Amino acid sequence: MADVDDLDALSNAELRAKMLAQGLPNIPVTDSSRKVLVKRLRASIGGQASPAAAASPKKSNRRETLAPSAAPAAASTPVDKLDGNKVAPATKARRTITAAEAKEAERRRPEEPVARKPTSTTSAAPAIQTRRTSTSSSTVSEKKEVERPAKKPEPIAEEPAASKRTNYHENTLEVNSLIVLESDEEEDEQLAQAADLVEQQYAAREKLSKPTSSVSSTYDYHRKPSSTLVDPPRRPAYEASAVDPPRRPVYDAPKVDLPRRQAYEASAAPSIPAAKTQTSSYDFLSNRPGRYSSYVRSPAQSYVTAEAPATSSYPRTYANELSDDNEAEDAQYESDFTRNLARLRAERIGDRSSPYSRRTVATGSVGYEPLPRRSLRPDDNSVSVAFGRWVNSLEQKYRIKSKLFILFVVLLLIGVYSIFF
Amino acid sequence: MSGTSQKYRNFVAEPMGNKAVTELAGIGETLGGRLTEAGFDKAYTVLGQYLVLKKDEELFKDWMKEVCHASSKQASDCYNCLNDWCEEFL
Repeated sequence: MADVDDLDALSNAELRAKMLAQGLPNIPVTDSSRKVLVKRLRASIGGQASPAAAASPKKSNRRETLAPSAAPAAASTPVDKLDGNKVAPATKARRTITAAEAKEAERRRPEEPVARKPTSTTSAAPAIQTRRTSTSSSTVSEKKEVERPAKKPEPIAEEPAASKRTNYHENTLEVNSLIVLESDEEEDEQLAQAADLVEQQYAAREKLSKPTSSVSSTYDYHRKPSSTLVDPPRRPAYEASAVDPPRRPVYDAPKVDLPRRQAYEASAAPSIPAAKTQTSSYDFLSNRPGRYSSYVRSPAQSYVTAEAPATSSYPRTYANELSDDNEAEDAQYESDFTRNLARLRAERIGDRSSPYSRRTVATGSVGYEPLPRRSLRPDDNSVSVAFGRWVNSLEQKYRIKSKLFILFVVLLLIGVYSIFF
Repeated sequence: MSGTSQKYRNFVAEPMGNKAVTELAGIGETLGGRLTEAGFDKAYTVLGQYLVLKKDEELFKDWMKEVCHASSKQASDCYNCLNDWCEEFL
């Protein structure tokens, strides 16, 4: 304090030397600039005022103006005593704020001189700082506090401030909800974390539900020992006469094609005709719409699969609902159908020897030989071909060949008779 | 940052010569009177103080507030005016 107090007694050169010793920029001390420089030096000696601001004004100024209220209150009276000869208290208040640009900041200033000077940034500040957890103001204020002592120790001082800040965030976010309103980023972070948590839970549930949804496989596991027919990879549709595998009531019940189902039910539960009809009608419904109908049919299915363990019915429907095996099976039957269709088509097209083919009709009783399109025909314009066609047409029309043959025979007989007689 | 004033543009547009201190942006009659009382009657004297303070914005604004009780905006306008003039002509 003694150093601070006797600054005014120093000469300009001494003052300049002291400024240099304090780490302030080498600025010539004149009568006009002396007061400003003394203030700066006093603030610098005070330990927290803005020497950094004096050294690098442009960057740090904005931050300081953003957080004018962060400065703690203390030691305003000595300043007043020292400077009070000419300057009004209001100006003093302004002076203490290094980079006050906003009017609001100016309004607060009367309190700030108190806050600026004091060496006890840590002692006085915490009460204010803890309250200010909003991202913008708090960070700025803390940085300001850090930057004050000197320009060089900046990075060293910032780390504890940052850690402090995080502590504040944690405390305020968990304890004080009012402050959460100020800090949007923290709130967003918490919301994001909550969303992540929910997603993870949902994913875990999905993972759990998939195994449960694939009850079919577990059920298969139970059923497999009883039969090896459980899962034929591809079951053609025309194998309806084959005995149904025991897996069907368990897993395929809703999806299996109708004829097999009925046969199986007839053999398994012949004493329930009503049930049979119900299931058959149900199968029609279920086979048409697809997988969503499988969920609806659960009651009927449970009745149908009465032979199967009762516990298996619901999980099975759920499994059928969620598992892709049904689709695969549908696709299998569809592929069978398409395969058969393709085969039939191929047979129909390829069976040219059958009596229904066009060629046989043409070559049949009518005797008409289909010719290729004229455009595709070779150009046979010879006289013999034309004569042959004409003959053919005459023959087709008047049967001229047989008549000519008879005529030839008659003429031959007449000739023989005339020769011998 | 808001747009520049006509006063600012006029001052920055040409060498200051012997312009009065009130020609500076942010300096009106009131602040001009106080500056004149303090011995800064010409714009170049204020420019001299600005240069003595090594173009330090913080110090110059503090000086403005000290000498003529300028507000932060007035000090900022004057600083910007002199700073841009220096960049243009110095």
